Amino acid sequence: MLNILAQAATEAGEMVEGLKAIGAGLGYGLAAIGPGVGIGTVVGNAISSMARQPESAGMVRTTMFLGIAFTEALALIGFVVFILLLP
Amino acid sequence: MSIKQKAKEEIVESVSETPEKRIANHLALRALWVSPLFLILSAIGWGLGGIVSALLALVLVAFNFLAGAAIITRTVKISLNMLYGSVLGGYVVRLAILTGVVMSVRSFDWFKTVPFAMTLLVTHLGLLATETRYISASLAYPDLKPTSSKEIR
Repeated sequence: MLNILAQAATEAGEMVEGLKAIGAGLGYGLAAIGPGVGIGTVVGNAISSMARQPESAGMVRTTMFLGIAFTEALALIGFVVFILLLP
Repeated sequence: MSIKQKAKEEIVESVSETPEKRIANHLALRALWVSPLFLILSAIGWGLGGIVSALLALVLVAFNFLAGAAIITRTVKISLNMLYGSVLGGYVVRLAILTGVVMSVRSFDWFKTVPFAMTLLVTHLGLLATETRYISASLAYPDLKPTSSKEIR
């Protein structure tokens, strides 16, 4: 009886570890979607601006680069949560 | 010469200087300046492993900025469509590189998750937030503010 309980406890522990890994992976994947959409919006609008006003392209590129980097910080937060959750 | 070609040449001409590259270099340089603070904090809390982990995070942050800027600099000369595709593709590739590096070193004893994560996030966001103070983003100075009289055009 004790053996069966010990085996069940071990299996439950393994299952928890597995679920943690799945949760971490899912969380990272979901956290990367938002910045992907954000970067798409930033670059899309920057390209519109550059096409409309080529003389302001340098300024637009500066703003675009900073916008991309700020948006990417969200993905980095997801990445940090992922490595902290990993078993 | 068609209007399209002329417009393309105008874009290339007006962006022949590389503002994002200058900003990325400035960010990487400032990451070097703030590195002692993070290394000392990591050394106090986690020892030698903490130092190496924090150093890895600093290198990855600097690489991330430089690679992002290099992608924009290279592709904007080709076409705007290429720029769009490369920036989005580059985002995925840079995240994959970051994940690959961390997954390959996390099994080592010296790798400490907390100093790595702390340094990665604080450096990335902190550097960007303070960089906004140095940005001019005007037509005359599209990237950084001029720091000396020699730079004033």
